[in-house]
Formats: sequence, C-alpha cells, structure tokens
Amino acid sequence: MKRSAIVAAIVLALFSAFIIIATPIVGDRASMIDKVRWEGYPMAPCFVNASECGGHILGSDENGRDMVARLIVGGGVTLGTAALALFIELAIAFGLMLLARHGGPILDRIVIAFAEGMSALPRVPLALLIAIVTFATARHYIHPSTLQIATWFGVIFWPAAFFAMRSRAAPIRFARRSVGDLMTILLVSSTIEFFGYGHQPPTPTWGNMLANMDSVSEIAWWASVFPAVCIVVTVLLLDIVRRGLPPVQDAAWFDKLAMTSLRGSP
Amino acid sequence: MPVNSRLAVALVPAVRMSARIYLVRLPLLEVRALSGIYKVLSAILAAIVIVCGVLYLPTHRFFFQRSAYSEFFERLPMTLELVIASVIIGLALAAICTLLSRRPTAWLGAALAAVLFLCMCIPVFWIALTGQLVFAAHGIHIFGYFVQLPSAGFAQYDAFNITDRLTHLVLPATLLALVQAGAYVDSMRSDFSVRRLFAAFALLLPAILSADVLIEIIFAWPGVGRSFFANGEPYHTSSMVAFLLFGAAAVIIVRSVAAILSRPDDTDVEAFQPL
Repeated sequence: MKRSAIVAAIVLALFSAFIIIATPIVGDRASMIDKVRWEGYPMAPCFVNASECGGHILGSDENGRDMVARLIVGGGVTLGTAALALFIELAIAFGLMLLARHGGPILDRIVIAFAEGMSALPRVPLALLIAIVTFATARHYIHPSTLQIATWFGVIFWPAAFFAMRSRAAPIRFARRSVGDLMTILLVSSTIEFFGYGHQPPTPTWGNMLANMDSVSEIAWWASVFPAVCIVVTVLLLDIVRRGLPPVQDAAWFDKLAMTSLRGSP
Repeated sequence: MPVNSRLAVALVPAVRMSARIYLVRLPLLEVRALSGIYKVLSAILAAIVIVCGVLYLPTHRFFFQRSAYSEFFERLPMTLELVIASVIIGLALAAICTLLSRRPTAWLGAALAAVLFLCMCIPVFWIALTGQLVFAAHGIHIFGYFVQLPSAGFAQYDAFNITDRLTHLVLPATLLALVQAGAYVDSMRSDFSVRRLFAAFALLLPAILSADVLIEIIFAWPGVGRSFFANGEPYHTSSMVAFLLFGAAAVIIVRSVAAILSRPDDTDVEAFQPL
C-alpha cells in the first residue's frame, strides 16, 4: 500500500472524527437564520468582506444560515448515509453470495444473471425512478428517512460487491470495489439530492445545499462552491486510497489478512 | 439447399460459437459458463424483468397520446450525437495526456492527468452548471478572443448549419467527455491495447448514460435523457423505464462485444464509474 494512500486514509479518518465531534457543537446553527445580521441577501465569507461577514467564516447561504455549520452537519448526514448505504450494499451482496454458493448451481446462475443485468443499468435514472416511485405522491414528496435513502443505494450498488466477493482475487477486488463504490455512492447521492429527492430541507446535506445553485451561484458563489469542494475533496481522498491499494494481480498482499472466508470459488 | 437453410447452417455455429465465447470469456464480467437449464432459467428471469418494463411502457400513451417507443427513437439521434462526440473528445484528451507523458513533457502529461482525474471526482451537475455559467452565460476571454457559446439547445436554426450545430455541441460534449477521460487515461497507461480500452469503455458505459441524462437536462439537449424531465422534475416514469431498458440493452450488447474480444488475462481491467 502506497504511503499517499495511508496519508489520505488518515486525513479522511480525522475529517470524519472532526465532523462527529463538531456536529453537536454547531448543530443548532445549521438550521438557524442569523436574524441579527441578515438583511435578506447572502452574507459573504470573512476573507471576502471582513467587516460585514458577521462571524460567518464561510459566509451564509441564501437564507442567512451559517455555511460552516451547515457544511459540518451536512457532511455528517452525507457521509453517514453513504457509509450506511455501503454497509447495506455489502450485506445484500454477502447474503446473495452465500445464497449463490450454498443454494445450489441453479440459484447461483440465477443470482449471477440478475446481478449482471442490474450492473448494466445506469444508476442516476434508476435512483431517481426508485426515489419517485417509492416516495412521490400526486401532490407531496414524502420525507424519506436516512435508512430508507441508504437502502435505495444499497439496492442499486450491490452487484459490484457481489462480483468482487465471488471472484478469484476476492479480498483485493473487494477492497478496491468497496472504496470505489463509496465514491460513486457519494456522487450519485449528491446528484439525487441536488434534484430534491433524498433528505428534505431543513436537513442539510452537501447535495441539497447545491439544489438552488443555478439561481444562487451568480450572487453568492460561496453557497455553491464550498459544498462542491467538500464532495470533491472527500471523493479525491477516497480515490487516492483506491489507487494506493495493490493491483488485482498481486493478491498475496491482502491474503495475509484474515479475510479468506470471503474468497469466492475459483 | 434453399438459401434460408444455408444461412441457418452458416449462422447457427457462428451464434453458438459467439455465445460460447461470450460465456467462457465472461470472466471480464465475472460470470462463467452457463449450461443447459441455467441458460433457460436466466433467460426466463431476464424475460420477466423486460416484460414488466414493456408492460409498464403503454402508460406513456395515457399522458402523451403517443407510444414511449416512438418518442424514444425520435430523440435517439440527438443522444447518439452527444455521446459519440463526447467519446471522441474523451479519447482525444486521454491520447494527448498519454502522448505528453513521455520524457521531455512528462510534467505536462502528469498535470493533465491530474486535471482529468480531478474532473472525474467532481459531481457532473456541478461542473455542467458552472461550465454553463462561465462559458455560456458570461463568456470568457481566451488568448485575446472573447468566447461565448450557446447556453442551451442543440441548434438555433431549423435548416442544418454545421457551425451552428458544432457551437451548440462543443460545451456539453466536452463536459460529458470529462467524465470518461480519466478512465481512458488509466486504461491507456496499463499495457495499452484497443481491446482493453474498449473493455474500459464497456464498463464505463452506464456512467456515461447517467452523466448524459444530467448534461441533457442542464443544456436542454433534446435527447432521450431529457424526455423524462419537465419543469426540472423527473415526472415521466414511463420515459425513464424506456431509457433504462434500452440503455441496459445497449450496455449488455457493448459488454458482450468486449467479452468476446477479451483475453483471459484481461480480468484486471477496471474503470471507476463516476456515476
């Protein structure tokens, strides 16, 4: 494993720990309008306009809510949902892998064919379809819970993990796919939330903070840039971790770990 | 021997052989030989899924007084234009990056590769809206020239005009190419061959289709991806089902070709799917 990957993993862990520690501290401010200083338009970050930022280091959004607090709370929601989705995905894939391996050859082929078909579907339209069919009524959009949103992505993403668990170089493939899937889940979930599905306001996520960016980004660039920077930095760190993992050919590195029970049939 | 049966004699072994290659070579897609009853069962399963989708599609007529198929195939050429242009631009970017990564300009190649890898990590809707803002809404000065591209649509005039079409195409196609270029660079760097590049493209295709939907919505490109959006909301689930069915069919066909072309040691081909 490359040193850059280890550094990136440590940075990610610190980042997550910071979000977990800071969320209860800034939690109240994330959905609170700064009624004292807000004059109806977004407040600029302090490094842009120190005299009128009113203590909002990264400014405020279009409703006068502190960007830093929203980024921290939204980061917790986003990363938590993605991690939960990865867990559900792995649980589904693991269950189906057991079914395929021990349920006889017929079930094996059926599950493989199903997974092959699932992995051919484009994810964003599929996620939108699931989000609409399960939660939209004629007039309202029912607020889905975090567990429900994570389940959508678990249901969409399981084939890759299933194939990774089933393949010859299973553990190493499994690690690469899991990190890659976490990146893709982050990007797809922020896309879904950008369209207004997933978590509903006032709950902030990095995705739904960008939902109004087409109208807001001209008057307040910070409201649309900082959430995107958070997404990009997280995905980029995960990408560095993924690229640092050893390639599929030398699986011996990973075989030392006690993950041999996950290895599929040859 | 009648022509029909001669054709059958020629075709049946070819089909059987290609099916066999597909199923044996499928380690690329990580599925191995299906035989006998399993083929039938998996075909039945696929048929159930497809029939459910096809049965759902007539609901389109209820809202639009026309079939989902006719709307899909009417819009398909526009989507193909966008996707093919983006694949060409993506391959060109990756080729430039690979060529630059030789000795005298290695730093330039590395910088371009870093930019392309970064572009793969940016949400597509964000880079599309920002690109639209910078290059279309405001315009930008590049080397003394003021560049301002059209912000939406695929043509301004009814009559075919190549300049008109290209100026509308360049921005969405380039943004869609940025989704793919990083994966092509990865593929070109580890022992380059056209068949491995095609395999990477086959693995990436669902992500390209997803990104195509977003680009078509943001740039009001009148392709199939835009058909299920109205007023910025994806209302038209029948159009979505049509897109998913035909998109999955395209992906499976392309992946089958990639599997037929692949060699047994190509199992390490992987392409990160940004969407």
